[in-house]
Amino acid sequence: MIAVLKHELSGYFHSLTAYIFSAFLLAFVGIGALIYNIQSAVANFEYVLGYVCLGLVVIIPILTMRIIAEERKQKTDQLLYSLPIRTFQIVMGKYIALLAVFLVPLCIVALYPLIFAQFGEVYLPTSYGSLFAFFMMGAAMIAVGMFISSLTENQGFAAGIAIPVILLNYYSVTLAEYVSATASGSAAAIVVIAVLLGCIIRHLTKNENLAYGISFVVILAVLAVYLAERSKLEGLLPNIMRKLSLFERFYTFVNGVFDLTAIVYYITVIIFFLFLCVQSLEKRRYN
Amino acid sequence: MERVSFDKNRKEKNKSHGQLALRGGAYSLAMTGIVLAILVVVNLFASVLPAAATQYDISSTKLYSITSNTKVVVNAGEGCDDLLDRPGG
Repeated sequence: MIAVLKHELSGYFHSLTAYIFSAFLLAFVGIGALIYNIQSAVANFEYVLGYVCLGLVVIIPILTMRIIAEERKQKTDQLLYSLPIRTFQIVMGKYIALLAVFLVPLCIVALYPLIFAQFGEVYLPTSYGSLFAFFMMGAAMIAVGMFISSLTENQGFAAGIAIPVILLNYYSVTLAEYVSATASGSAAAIVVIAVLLGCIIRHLTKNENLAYGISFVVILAVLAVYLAERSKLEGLLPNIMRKLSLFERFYTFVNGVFDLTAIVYYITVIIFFLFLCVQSLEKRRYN
Repeated sequence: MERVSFDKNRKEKNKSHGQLALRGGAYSLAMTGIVLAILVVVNLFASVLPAAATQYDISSTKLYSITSNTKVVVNAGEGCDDLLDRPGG
């Protein structure tokens, strides 16, 4: 794991990627600080982070796009498979390297509230609480981006999928206002998900009977719930969409509440996508 | 004759490959399902914990905390319920 970590870190810091990423993040935060803290003379650094978090939608996929896709393209993933370590350790090594690259500009950003505190009253707990949440949210997005990178061998494609996925997550709360809140709407959404699940199972197991069987069972279960207890399905779809938003939970910190449930959510997202990433790499062994 | 045996060989190979995919894919899916279920349960558990244990007020003006002043007013108000009966009260 340490070997993978060292290799990835040297790869990032010997190429332009880490520097461009840091430069963009610092530029975004700088513009935010200029607008809020200097131009409007507001002493709340957390507003800057709330403003900048949309920038993560673009820069995180740029950071993560090459992490596994490039290995597959250059066929060096075969070398990774032959290492005497487990796939989980490979993924962790790469992930920690990405976190380190993400942490470097944030360490510089962490100085800003201290600098502003020299010239006025800056309430530091909110600033650093938000900065911590900002890091956790970025870490969750890096896990998502890394999983998407493991699905393809084309870097551009990996970024091109990761950006809409994270952007959709950003807008999921707004979209939740417009999606159908009725029971039939939620039931239809679950049926669509069941069909997609069937497609994934067929792709993974190459066994059509299993895929159709599981899809069919899920659809039947939804129909049964729909017919028996319609009220249970009401508002389910918008509620789930609201719960899935990474950004909405971050704004709680910006507004001054240190929310441990949000931290738990970020950690679960990280674990889930790293797990999927391991599964995606393992798939190459048996498929 | 040789061709037939070759085809047969390949068929067997394909079959074993399919078996491998089925076993690997099914294992992978089952594990993903289990992990997802555990993570959802952890999140549900975190969400039902009392807010006092999970959410801390870090705002500069203590926006989300009840001040001692409020407590005094509320405690004093508990005795005089007639306040509530007044119009607009």
